[in-house]
Amino acid sequence: MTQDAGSDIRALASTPVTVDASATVAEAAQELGKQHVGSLVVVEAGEPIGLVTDRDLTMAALLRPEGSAPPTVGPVASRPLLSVDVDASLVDATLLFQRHCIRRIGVKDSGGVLVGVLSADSVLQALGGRLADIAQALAREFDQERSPQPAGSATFGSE
Amino acid sequence: MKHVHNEQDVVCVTRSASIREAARSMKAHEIGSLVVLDDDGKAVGIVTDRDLCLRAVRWDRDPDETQVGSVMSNDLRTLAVDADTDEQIQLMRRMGVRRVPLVDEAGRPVGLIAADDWIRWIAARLDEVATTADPSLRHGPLRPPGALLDDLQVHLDRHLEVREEDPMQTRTVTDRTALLDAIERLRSAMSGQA
Repeated sequence: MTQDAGSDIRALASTPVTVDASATVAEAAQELGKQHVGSLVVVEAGEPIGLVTDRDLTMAALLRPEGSAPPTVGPVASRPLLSVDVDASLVDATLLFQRHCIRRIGVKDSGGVLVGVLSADSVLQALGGRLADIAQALAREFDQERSPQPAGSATFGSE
Repeated sequence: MKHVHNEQDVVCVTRSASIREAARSMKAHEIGSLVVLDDDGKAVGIVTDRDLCLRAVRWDRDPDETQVGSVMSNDLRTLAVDADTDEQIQLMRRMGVRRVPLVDEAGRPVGLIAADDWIRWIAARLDEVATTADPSLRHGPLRPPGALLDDLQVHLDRHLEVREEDPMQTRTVTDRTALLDAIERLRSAMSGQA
């Protein structure tokens, strides 16, 4: 009942879009707009060190001291980059979202290399899809009862 | 049918306010969007933290010189305060938006429908439905406390009906009164937690 295919996370994660910690918030926002993503993985010396969201960039840029230059991404990023293993269960991921009140986490392969970003929105979409499927199954159960097929015509295993 | 449980207080900003003021307000209220008003207090747009990022931060626009009106989304869709559940969700679906302001007859914002609130509401209802369908909760030791108290009350009513004039029953009457009193206190303790 609580089993949970590990491939879920692989299928739901998106390819990470990165930005260097030395980039300005404006440069990061350009990348974010160009790639149509809500967050960027911040890298330093090639290593992922944190995550920065559209909201983080907005607050850092617009609430900076008057007359000062736009800040760089490094100090703005949420650190460390919280991650789950690509073979972890969906439950591991959602518990991490819940525990840290975050909506995006990194996904790492068995070698610790970042291979994706998993968002709470994509998990929600997947769960919503499953719920709709189950609702359909319940609806079909009654439909089939109303218009029964002749005995012996069941097609087990054909789907 | 009005669903007040999904309405948030709506936070507004004027069209001529600076984007710094907008960001400050979003941060202070811990929200991601503001309804933009014209001089008459009518809702004319909505501005999100993402709008600010992609239309202002991206082009390095000055936080104090840039007005909210120049970065907001103009294609505002609103709902009347008495819009029902279906209208709310279908509009979000059609428009591909996660927030819709509720307005009065003069177009002034009075609330905000947010997808996140709906998700929480649906999750809570799902949890309730799932719980009632769980046989271990229905018959087993994990039955909800409120239901156990109901059972106990029914049991007492049914099996401890006593004739109070019978001196042999005095003890039972005392026990029964004490039990009913205990049930009452447990109930009020539970409703106090809720």
